[in-house]
This record gives sequence, structure tokens and C-alpha cells, in this order.
Amino acid sequence: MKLTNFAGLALACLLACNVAGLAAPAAAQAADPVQAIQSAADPARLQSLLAAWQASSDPDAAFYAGLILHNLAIQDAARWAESAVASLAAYRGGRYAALALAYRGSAVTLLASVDNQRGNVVAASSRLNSGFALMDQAVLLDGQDLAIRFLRLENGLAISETTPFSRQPAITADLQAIGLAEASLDPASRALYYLACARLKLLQRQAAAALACLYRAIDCAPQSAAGRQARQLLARLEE
Amino acid sequence: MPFRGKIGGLVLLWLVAWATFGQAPGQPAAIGSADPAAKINISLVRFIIDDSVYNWRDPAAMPEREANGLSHPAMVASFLDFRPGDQLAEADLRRRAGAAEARLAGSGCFYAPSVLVLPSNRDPQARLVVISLREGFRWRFGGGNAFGLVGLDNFGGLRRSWRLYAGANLAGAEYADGLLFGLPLEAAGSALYSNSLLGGLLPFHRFEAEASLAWRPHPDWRLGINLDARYMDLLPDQPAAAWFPAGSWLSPGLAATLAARFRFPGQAFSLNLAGNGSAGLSLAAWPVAAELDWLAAVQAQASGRLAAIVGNEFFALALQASAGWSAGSLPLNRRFDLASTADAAVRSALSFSQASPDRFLLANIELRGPALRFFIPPFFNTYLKLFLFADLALAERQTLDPAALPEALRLNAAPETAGAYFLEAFGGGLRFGFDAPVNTHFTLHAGVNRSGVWGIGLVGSGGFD
Repeated sequence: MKLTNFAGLALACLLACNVAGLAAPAAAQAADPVQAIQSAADPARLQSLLAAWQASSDPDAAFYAGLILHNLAIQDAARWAESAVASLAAYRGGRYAALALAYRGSAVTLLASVDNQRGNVVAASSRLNSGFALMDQAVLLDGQDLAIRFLRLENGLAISETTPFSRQPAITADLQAIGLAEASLDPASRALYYLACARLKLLQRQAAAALACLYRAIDCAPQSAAGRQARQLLARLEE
Repeated sequence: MPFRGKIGGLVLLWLVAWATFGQAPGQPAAIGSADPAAKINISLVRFIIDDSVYNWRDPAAMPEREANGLSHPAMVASFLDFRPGDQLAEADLRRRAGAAEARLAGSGCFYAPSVLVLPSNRDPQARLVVISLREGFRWRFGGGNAFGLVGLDNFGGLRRSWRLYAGANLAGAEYADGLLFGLPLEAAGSALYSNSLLGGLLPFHRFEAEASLAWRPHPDWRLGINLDARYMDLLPDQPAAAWFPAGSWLSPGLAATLAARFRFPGQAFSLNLAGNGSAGLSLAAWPVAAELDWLAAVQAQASGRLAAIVGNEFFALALQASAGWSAGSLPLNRRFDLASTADAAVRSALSFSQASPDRFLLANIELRGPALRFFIPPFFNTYLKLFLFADLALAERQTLDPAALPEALRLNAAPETAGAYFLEAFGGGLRFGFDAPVNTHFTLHAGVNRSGVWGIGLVGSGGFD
């Protein structure tokens, strides 16, 4: 019995993770551990990074380790999500306080997917609620951080599409915040933005507007993850 | 749940509403069609159930589901009043898509149902209908005073359901198959035991067995027959013995049933019409041990309800008219009940002597306010809704003499003329409950009549719709 199908949630997190460093200049990104983590998709590479950060005395090490665990949890939530929550909860630094809160919330929603797969609907619903509360707090702390906005946006869309719980007000707020900064987005992030717009329009039964947004997402970055997802969604809406 | 339809003649009402609201008021303009009356062709209906995609192109060949237990595409299709190959006006198809979405959501079997009408990239005069939904939480839990229930909806993914009741005053089971032999047929059966030993005015044990079969020519229409047998053992030493003597009563019955619903969505206001009714014969045989005059024991009974709700998410005017007629004196377990029938009662304090007439006309009028919605963790999608109501009833009791009852059972009685009397209630109430995934609804109401007598009640219903 399913409260929800969380398959889209993991993909959503993965897409949103990739924009975590989107506002940083290219030179800064090269030295940014967050960017290094987000660019590592291979589980083995992520696990070697995890070992390195868990052994590190860097004040932000708990955040980096938590981020890695979160990304591993996207691929295997049952194995990694609990550790991701613990690591991100243990982070006491100030530099990534809001982002850590947002990823912690996202990891909690991944735990909800594990509960759901095990048939524990009550625990899944409770965790889902807790996860979104953490992401809402993160937005309150730093509403200008587009990575946080994207993360909450993708989680909100996935839940609104698959459960009776609607996150449409938060989705709309996140899209507005990201839309204001659209000019500064790279093509892949812009594709992700238009894909999210399309999904919201589908929730609102505005089929023509949704199709237009999907075409726009594909135009922005056809080879990006969001571009590919837009093509898949479009294929379901076309004969 | 067993199908419990009742009779109602809705054709005239439907024609009036259709003439008033026209074709699908408020629908968006047609896609790529200059003439709104021009017919388009449904080339494909696509079901997206969780991650499974089914394309229904040949109306005679429903796709097979990917695995047992998942909702069958035929189950989803049973909520639709269109199919591939249908030629419809664009606006008509959009209206039907909206109604199908409302039916799927109202079934409680799915999360996030969505029915989209999209242009075909193969033919400008063709349309693709995409129905996407998620499997819902199928278990049902509930209960009442001294009993609990557990049940399962969409059992096996085939529009079947069952309920089990257990407790001190209610026990039994119900089963229904809404897609019998894969056809638009609904079969249902139930066997229930109940008693009033925890505080009822009349102490009894009751057994009821019921079977019904209905044909569903349209997702919102049902036409069927209902067969039941009601047995009641009324215990001695009760105050209404003059009306309902102690002993065992057995009453088999057969009734024809009809139910229909019409939806007229609009941008500013929507109109919903619903009606149900039944007409049948029953054998009032009591007490079981006594010699029976079979001819005199056969009784006819008919009842029906029509409801109209016009409004939007902020305000609604809800009107319901009910009527009941019985030919002769019916046993207690077949009598009409104006005091405690869910959604069709006079909501003030009624005298026992006037609560179960032989004939009645009843109007329930409600002004309903907007719903206040909030979430109670972990999963209670809670709502609160205030309403004002007026209930007016004209009733007649032909066969039972109130003078035979003790004074206590005639308390608060309205004035009578040759057994006819008028009942009324004016008041307000609060509807509250939990939407999906819990799907439990309650109404708390308080009403007063012209004599200033108040009545307060709590029923497990979200109101007529």
C-alpha cells in the first residue's frame, strides 16, 4: 500500500543538488567542496569523498559529509538517509547553516520514502511533514539562496504530484524567487526552472501553458538532466 | 459498501439545469478549433497509474495491467463517460474530463488524479486524454459508539471493497464488487447484527441481510434491485409496547433502486444535482410465531431524495427534498426515521411519537460557508466548515395511535390534525473531519423548533452532496 510513490522525489533531489553551486563564479566553483561533491555522481567516488571528509577536522566537514550521504541516499535511501540526517544535524558551522537545514529536510523526506516502502504510512507522513518544516526554516533563514529554493521546489512538486498533500503555495513562492534571478541561471538550471514551471502548470490543469514550458526547458538545455526529464514528460503528453 | 439507491425522477430537473447552464459554462476555449460545436475525435486515452503507462486506443480492447493488485485500467475507465473513438464537441469533452476527475477524486481510491485533454500531434481534429493518478491508501478504519470497523477499498485494484464491523452493538460484514465480470455492474451484500442494549429507548437485537445488483449505464447513474431480510427481536418491558409489541419480527423485502448525479461546473459557481430513490414491497411479519395474514402483511414503500448544491469554494446553497410513502403499518425496522437518518432529518428535538411517520415530505436547506483547512501531523488533512440550516417537514402517521403511548414518549410533540403534523428546525452546525488519506467526516448540529425546544446531534457524515 502506498501513501505515495517517491521515485520522483529522489530524481528531484538529484536535479536540485546539481544547482547547489550555481550562483558561484566558475573560478570559485573549482575550489568549492560543495561543487566537487555535486559533480561526483559515481557512488564509489562519493564514498571516497565521504571517508575523506569524515576524517577531516574542517569546521564544515559534517556538512560536506552530510551532503555526500544525502546524495548517496538518493540512490539508496534505506542505507544512507539516516546517516545523512545525523551528519547534517551534527553540523554546527555557520557558513552552510541554511543549506544544511534544507538538505537535512530533504534527507528526512528520503527517510519517509523508506518508511513508505516498508508500509509504515504513519511514520512516512510524519517524516514528510518534518522534512518540509526543515526546508521551510531554511528558506526563512536564507530565502535568497537559489539552491535551497530549488531543493524545496523539487521536493514540493514531487509531493504535490503524488500525494493528497499540496505544497502549491510554497512551490509558487519558490518559482517566483527563482524567476527573479532567471537571467543569472546557467542553461541547465534554467531548464530545471522551466521544467518546474511546467509541472506546476500541470498541477493547475493548464495543459497548454505546461506544454509551452516543457518546450522551453528542452530548448534551454536539451542534454541536461532537466532537459531529458522534460522530453520524457512531454512524451507522456503526446500521442 | 452495499449499494443503497433510492428512486428519483431527475430527467426534468436535468433538462432545466442543462437549459439554464448550457454546455459546460466556463470551460476554456477549444484547442485549435474555431467552431466550438465542431466534433473532435478521441484518438487515445492514456492511463498513467504510478509509473505504469497504458494506452487505450481500441475501445473494445482494454490494456492489461502490469501486475495483479495494481489498479486495473478498466477500474479507472469505469469512472469515465467517454472512450477512444468517441466524437464529441471540444467543450463537451472538457466537461466530461472535469467530471471524471471529480469522480476519481471522490472515489477515495487515488491520490492526485488529473484528467487532461491534449491536442494530438497526428491529427488536428483528434484529442489525447491523459489520466494520471497515484494509487491511494486503500485501508479504511473507523467506528462509532461501542464498535469499530476495518475495511479495504479498491481491493485487488478491481473496484471491490469490504468492511468488517465488530463491537458490543454492531457486528458483521459488507462486500461490494463495482465491476462484476468486468462489466458496469455493481453487486453488493451485507450481513449485520446490531442491538440497542447500550442505551436505546427500545431494547432489541436486530439482524439484517441484504443483497443488491445494479447496472451502471453511466458512471453517475445506477439502476438496480435490492433484496433484503430484516429480523428484529424486540425485548419485553419497553415503553412503546403499545406500538411495537415485544417479540420476533421477520421482514423480507424487494425494491427497485435508482440513483443519478449531474454535474454542471462553472467558473464562478458550480451546480451539482443528485437524486436517489427506491420503491418496493416488503413482508411485515410479526411476531414470527403468530399466524400471519400474508395478504395484509405485504406492504409497499417508496422513498426518494433530490439534492441541488450551487456555489463555489466560499459559499454554497444546498437544497434537498425528500419524500417517503408507505401503504400501511410497517414494523419498526422498516419505518421512516425523521430523527436520526443521516443527512435527511429534522434537526431539533422530536417526540418519539412523531419521529417515524408513514408518509412525509422533508426539505433541508443549508447555507454553507468556506472550509478552514489545516494539517495535523502526522497525516490529518483537517477541515472545519460552518453552516446554517432550516429543516421543514410535513408528516403523517396513519396507523398508530399516539394516545396509546405513555406521556414521556409524547413529550415535545407538535400539534396534530388527523395524524398530520408539521415539524421544523432552525439552527447551525459545524462539519469537520479528515480528507484523504483518512476520509472520515462528522457533522455536529444544534437546532430549535417553534416551541423553543433544542436538539443537538453528532452524525458520521459530511452532509448531503
